[in-house]
Amino acid sequence: MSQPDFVRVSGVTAQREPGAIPARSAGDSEFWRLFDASRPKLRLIAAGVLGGVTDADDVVHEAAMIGLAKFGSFTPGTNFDAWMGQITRLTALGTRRSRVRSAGATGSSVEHLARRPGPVTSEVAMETGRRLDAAMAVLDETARSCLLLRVVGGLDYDAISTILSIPKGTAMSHVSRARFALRGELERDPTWDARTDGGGS
Amino acid sequence: MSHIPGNDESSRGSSGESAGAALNAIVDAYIDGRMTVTERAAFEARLTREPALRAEVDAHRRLEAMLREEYAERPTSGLAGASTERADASDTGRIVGRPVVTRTGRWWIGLAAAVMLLVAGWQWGLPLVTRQSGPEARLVAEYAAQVSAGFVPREVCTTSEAFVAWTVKAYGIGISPAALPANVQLLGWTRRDTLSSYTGVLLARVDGREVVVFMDPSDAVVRDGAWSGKGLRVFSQRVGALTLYEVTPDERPAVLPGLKQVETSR
Repeated sequence: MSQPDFVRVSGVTAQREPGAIPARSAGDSEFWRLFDASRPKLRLIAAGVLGGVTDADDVVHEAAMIGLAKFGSFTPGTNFDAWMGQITRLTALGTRRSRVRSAGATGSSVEHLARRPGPVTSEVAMETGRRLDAAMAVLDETARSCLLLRVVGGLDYDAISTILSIPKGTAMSHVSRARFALRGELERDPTWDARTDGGGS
Repeated sequence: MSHIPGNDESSRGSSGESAGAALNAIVDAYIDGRMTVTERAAFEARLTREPALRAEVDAHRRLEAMLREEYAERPTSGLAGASTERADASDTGRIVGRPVVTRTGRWWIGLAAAVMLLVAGWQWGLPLVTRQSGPEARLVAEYAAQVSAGFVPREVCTTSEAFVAWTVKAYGIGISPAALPANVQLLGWTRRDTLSSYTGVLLARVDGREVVVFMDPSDAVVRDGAWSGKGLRVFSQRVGALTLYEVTPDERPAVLPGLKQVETSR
């Protein structure tokens, strides 16, 4: 074997190939600093558009690469969440469209939301997740994003308004309507309550 | 007294859609935390007297808890599908944390994953899972998880063109496997949060044995000491802005030497 350009993990690893691109420029570092703070919110936006967490991380990852490439067009001092939120939303929409295409005429978007397999998976948890995703599918993407940002992300309505570029009142009404619509959808399944942690209400 | 429609007992006398809408508005305001202290106290007094209203609120609370369970991000860890808090595992050489609530919310899943990892680690001769808690331990744990899960990539990727396209899409850097030796079989990619939120996991076989290559844009600090004995070895290499790690049962890395950065038009 020729002289390797790798080393066994022994504390000396930063070996670069000739001509390799710089690890991270100053601009890149600033992007990642801002991005890391935004990422949990962007993930919820992606999940809202996609209708589930499956692929949300991939979408955010892809959005990050787009954002990094376009970071020169970001105006310092403006809202990074809103800027990346829009990129993430558009990226997620593209992913959703390609899903629909690949699912074909017979596959619903919900059926296409196959859970990511892991080495340890609870059937009950998977079923709960599928039911929840299916119920979420009755909401539109903005309502889903609003609900997730509010309930899961804990954002206030000003922040939701900013990151989704919608009026605050619209965000509030989306969350309110989504709550009741989601519950109504879940309760159409008579066995739903029995599946919840607390049993019937 | 109340700014929230329906937050007084007189509203119970009304009927029809307006009463239902008013009730929804007050429940929503309560669940959403938009009540004043006074309004909240009044509403909670009502809850003690009206079991049906209490049930309504409880149902919403339960639904929100489920949403958080389902959609909240799992903490980064080397365990796939479950997470475990560690409190300075390096001191004890054991997992000392407690299972935390995951998206499933079932503590026993975390426990099962931990047991599974312990068994896998024992099988591969690893020193009780994580004597080292640095990147190497996470990488090896992820290797074990991938093998336990059947070693099936999420995105099949077996050609050089698809490989380069994936790395460009994922990291903005073209990395080609064209120089890989013939005994290396590429299977495909999975994305995990092994080292950061952007860790790419390449599954491959070398002479039929499972080998995992990780790509990550973070400058993860690695610690001295490769896994040895009959266990796994970890090798690393910088390619452009990425650090690549190969976890292999072999003495030498077979995949890393064959991965080269190539020019692409971004």
